[in-house]
Parts: sequence; C-alpha cells; structure tokens
Amino acid sequence: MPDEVPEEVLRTPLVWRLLRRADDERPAFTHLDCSAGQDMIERTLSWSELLVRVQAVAAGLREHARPGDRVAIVARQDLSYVVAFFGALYAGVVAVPLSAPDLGAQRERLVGVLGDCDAQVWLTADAIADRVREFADAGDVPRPRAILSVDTLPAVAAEPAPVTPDTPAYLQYTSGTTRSPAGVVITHRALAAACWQVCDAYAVDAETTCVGWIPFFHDMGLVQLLTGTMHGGGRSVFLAPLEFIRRPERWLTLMSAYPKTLTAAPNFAYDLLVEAVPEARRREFDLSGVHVALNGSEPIRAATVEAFLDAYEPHGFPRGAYRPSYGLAEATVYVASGDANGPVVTPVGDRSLVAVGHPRGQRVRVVDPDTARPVRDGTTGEIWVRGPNVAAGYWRRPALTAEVFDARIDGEGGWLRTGDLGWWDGSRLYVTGRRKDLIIIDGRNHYPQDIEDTVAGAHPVLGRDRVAAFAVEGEAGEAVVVVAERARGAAAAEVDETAVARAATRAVATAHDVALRSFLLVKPGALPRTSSGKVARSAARTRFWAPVTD
Amino acid sequence: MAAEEHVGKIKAIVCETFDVDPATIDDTTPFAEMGVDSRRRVRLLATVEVEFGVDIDLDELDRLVDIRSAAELLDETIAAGGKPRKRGLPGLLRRHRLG
Repeated sequence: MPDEVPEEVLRTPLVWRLLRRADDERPAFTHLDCSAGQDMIERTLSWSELLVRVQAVAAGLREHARPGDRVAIVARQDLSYVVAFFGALYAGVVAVPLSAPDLGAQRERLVGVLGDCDAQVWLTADAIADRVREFADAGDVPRPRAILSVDTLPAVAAEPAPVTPDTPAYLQYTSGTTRSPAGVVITHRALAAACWQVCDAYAVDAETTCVGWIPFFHDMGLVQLLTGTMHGGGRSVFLAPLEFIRRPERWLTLMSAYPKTLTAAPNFAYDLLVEAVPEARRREFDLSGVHVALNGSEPIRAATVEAFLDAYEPHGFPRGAYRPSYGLAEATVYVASGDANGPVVTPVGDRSLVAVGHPRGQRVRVVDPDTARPVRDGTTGEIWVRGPNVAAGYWRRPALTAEVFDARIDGEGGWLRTGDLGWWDGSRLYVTGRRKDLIIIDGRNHYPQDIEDTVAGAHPVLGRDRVAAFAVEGEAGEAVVVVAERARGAAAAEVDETAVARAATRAVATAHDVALRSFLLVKPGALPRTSSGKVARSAARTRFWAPVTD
Repeated sequence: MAAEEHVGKIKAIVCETFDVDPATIDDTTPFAEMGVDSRRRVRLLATVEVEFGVDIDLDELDRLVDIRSAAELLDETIAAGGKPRKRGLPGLLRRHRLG
C-alpha cells in the first residue's frame, strides 16, 4: 500500500479521466427523482453521455468566461449540477459549488458567498432558470455576466482546458454568511490528491456505488458523490438532501439496492435512521452489501455509533463498514479514517472518544500550538496536516492564509493548522476538541461572530460587542448557546426577557437555519472580556454554561 | 371549516415534533421563534404527510412558518386532489428486489 499519492495522479487533472470513458456506456451518475411523491425515479447519465454534456458546458462557458473567472453552480441537487460542476472543471475556470435559491436559508448563504467570490457566470438548469434570474435581479448579489442553463446548451466537441496542478479548480465555502465567508481554494493537484486518498482509504473502485444525499456544496458531499466517483470510475446514486430528511428510509434503500455501496454522513443522519425508522420498516432492508458507511465532518459521537450498530447490525449492516473519519475543507476533505475492523471507542474520563484512525497520503502531527513542537503520544495538542491535498489558502485572504496554511515545524513550512485538538494513542488519531471558536452543527460550520451579529440586531436591548455565541455539547450533539448583555439604561424590570429571547431565537433560525439551545440575557458588563475589551467566548461559556451542565 | 379542524391536529403534531409546551404557543407563533430549523420543518411536513395520507410539495417548505399556515397548506393539498398514499415499499426497491 503506497503511503504517498503517486506523482502521475497529482499531475493529471481529475476531469481528464472522462476522456478515457468516451465509449463507456455504464451508468455514471443517477439522480433519484422524488418529485413524483412516493416512488423514486432513476435519472441516469452514462459516462459517454456525461462527456458530451460536459463538453457542451465547456464550449458554452468559453464564450462568457476566461481562465481564472469564477463560475457559480446555482443548481438543484440533480444531474444538471453534475454536468455544471464537471463542465466548469473541464473549461478550466474556477467553479464555485453552491445551491439553488429555493429556500430562505439557501438564499442567505448564496448572498454571502456570491458577494465574496464575485462569480462572472452562473450555471443552472432550465427548469429553475426564471427563479435564478429573479434572484440575480433582486440586487442582493453582484450581477453575473451570464446565466447559462446547462441542459439547453448545444452539443459541441471541446478539448479540456490546459491547467497546471496549481490552477484553482474550485472554491469550497465552509460557511456562507455575509460577515466572514471563507472560500478555500482547491487546486487541481489538491483535488486529485483528495480523490486518490478517499479511494485508497475506502477501497473505492469501478465496482463501487457511491450513494447518499449530502449537499454537493458541502466538501464531503462533493467528494463522496461527485469527484470520488469520477476518480474511481464506478457509479454514484444520489438524492436531494431534504428528500432524505423527509423519508429517512430512502437512505436505507440507497444503501441496500445497489452493489458495493459507499455512503457518508454526519452524526445526525445516523441518529435519524435510528429515531425515525421503526423496527418493522428496518426489516425490509438488507444492508449486508454496504461496503463503507463513513461518519465525518464533525466530531463523532460514540452514542451515535453504538445506537446505529445496535439498530442495523441485525439487518445485515457489517460492523467493519462503519468508518469514523476526520477531515476539513482546508485539506480538501479527507485527513484520516478508521479501518475495516470497525469503530474503536475509548473511554477517557467521563467521555467516550471514537478514534478516527490513520491518515492516507499526507502527514499528520499533533503539535503544541505555542511552541510548534510535536507533543508525545497521548498528549493533547493541535492537529497539523501537510500533504498534496492541502488547499492553496483562503480566497482573497492573504493574512488569514499565511496564519492558517503556513505553520512551521522544525523549519519546514506549509503545515496546515486545523484548529482541531486531538492526540495519538500510538497508532490512531483521536479528535478531542477545538481550539478555534467554530461551531459545527449537523456537519455545517457556523462562525460565532456571524451569529453574534444577527443576535445584536434582533432586539433594541441587544447590541454589538455585547453578545457571545459558543458551542456546547448536548445529548443530541453540538448546539449553540448565546449569552447577551442588555443595554445600559434598560432597567431589568422593564425588559420582557421572553420577548427578547424569542426575537433572538427567531433571528438566528431565519438567518442561519440554526436552533439555539439556549439564550441567556445578563446584566450590562456581565460578559467576560479580553484585555483588549473583546468578548471572551470560551470564558463566557465557562461562566454561564459549564457550571450548569457539569 | 376544515382548516379549523386541522389547526388543532397540527398543533398537537407541532408540540410533539418540536417538544413545545402547548400553553406557550398559539396558531401564529412563528416556528422560528421556537428555534426550529429547516430540517425540523421537513420532519414536521413528513409527519403531517403520514398523519393525513397526502404528499406535500417540498417547494412549499418556506410557507410552513406557523401552525395556521401549515393548516392552510394541508387544506390546499387536499383540495388539489391529494390522494391517500399507497402503502408499501418505494417502487425502486421493489424493482431491484424482483430484478
């Protein structure tokens, strides 16, 4: 087993693999269309059909975009998205995988990201083109030069654009908000490396069916359902994310109805399969063909792993298929994962930690973040990563890029500070916490300053620099708590605390699609602050939350 | 008439699904004020679908903002000929099992 990504893989742009499949009639990508109600209809593109459609998009793009231009994918999770994304890669532009402006929460995210990346062209599908144009005309985002429907472009043969391994392939936005969108610049080298790592780690090949529903705009969805399949040459079968939430047993259908399936999801989705599918329904599925079900994109909960295995091992689910995994968008997606022997859970104090196994094709060190020296096994430190899959930085954020992407160990630069804390037990990596203030809910990232801004504007007694938002551990995973000071001059007796709490909760649900676990209104000056006067979030958590829960 | 009848049933489903005390909300309390995200609104929609035996268009999710609007959406779906759903496995699985 090679430990390094082969040079030939790093030099070959991913989408060039399509050229070898020009005569390949096997199914490549299948969207299970749920719009007809109960039954799901398979809509499939073969490899040869995909190449034709991708070339049409690339030819269309060349009339409107130059190399280096950003091309946003503003499409639903169906075949048009697949064609648009690979078409953009084929054309050598910088793809920005986003979503359709269907729901309020999606539009909020689009406004933040499109404002940051300044996309010159948007790709969409004919069925929603009117809605997308309406959204562009509303004036909340920079107007694109062109909006193209990928399913109406004429078929034209086109060569793939010449790109170097350092050319940006796409921007991966990890959180989509107006204040701090950070687009991770994924180069063609990093993409090829990540696909190789994922295929190597989970034994993905031309026989594998990658199945699932994770959003394509999410790093895990993009690699698991689109690019990994392009690399491995197998097949993907996918659903729109909300169609899984609506009928969770559809995910079980996906896992059981296709050969050698690989799927991925964060904790909440495995919990949903346990809570929402009764035992009588579970019996209808034979899960013995599941090859890999990886859990990732947030810290893995031991309770989630155990409950899922208890519920589905009796229905054939192979324990060894369950792969706790660790990664982040700054490393394209993948860093480490458990092996085929099943999850390893280790009790540490009153917690149970799930090992995330071994890295592939990259180096991982656990480091004292202050001295930049690796710590001994069993000692907690920050997880640092170095490898060909590490991104080139954040889009148009040189200072942040230098700080995060160019840490040094023993004089060697280019180490990525993940902001995650963990330790090695000698052979396996454990993720134990977070150094950064990031909040991760259901696999989605949220920056506390964005939530604080929203809360500050939610009610007259609230205001900027008087709010702290932080993550807390709960029974159902990570959640957000907000502590806010009421304005000086607002007498406690005159403030309707319930009304303030409701306004804050409503604003956060609307703008961020997040349910607040708790909102605490405190007296002026009660929030702890740093020496420079900024609200200290982790101290606020200790003062107002930890004593309640511990 | 139908709407009023549905309001009561949907309120019961909302309190159960979102774990809310019925005494603290009314028909027009925004779900957002109960701290409900889109995932939990889809779960509500799915529960209403099962309870009333209809298929509701997921495109209408943004209209699901409070109990009253949920009852209206349900009425419209029934009026538009929402039929009781077929029982049994989704077609895809059936096809693959027999195939």
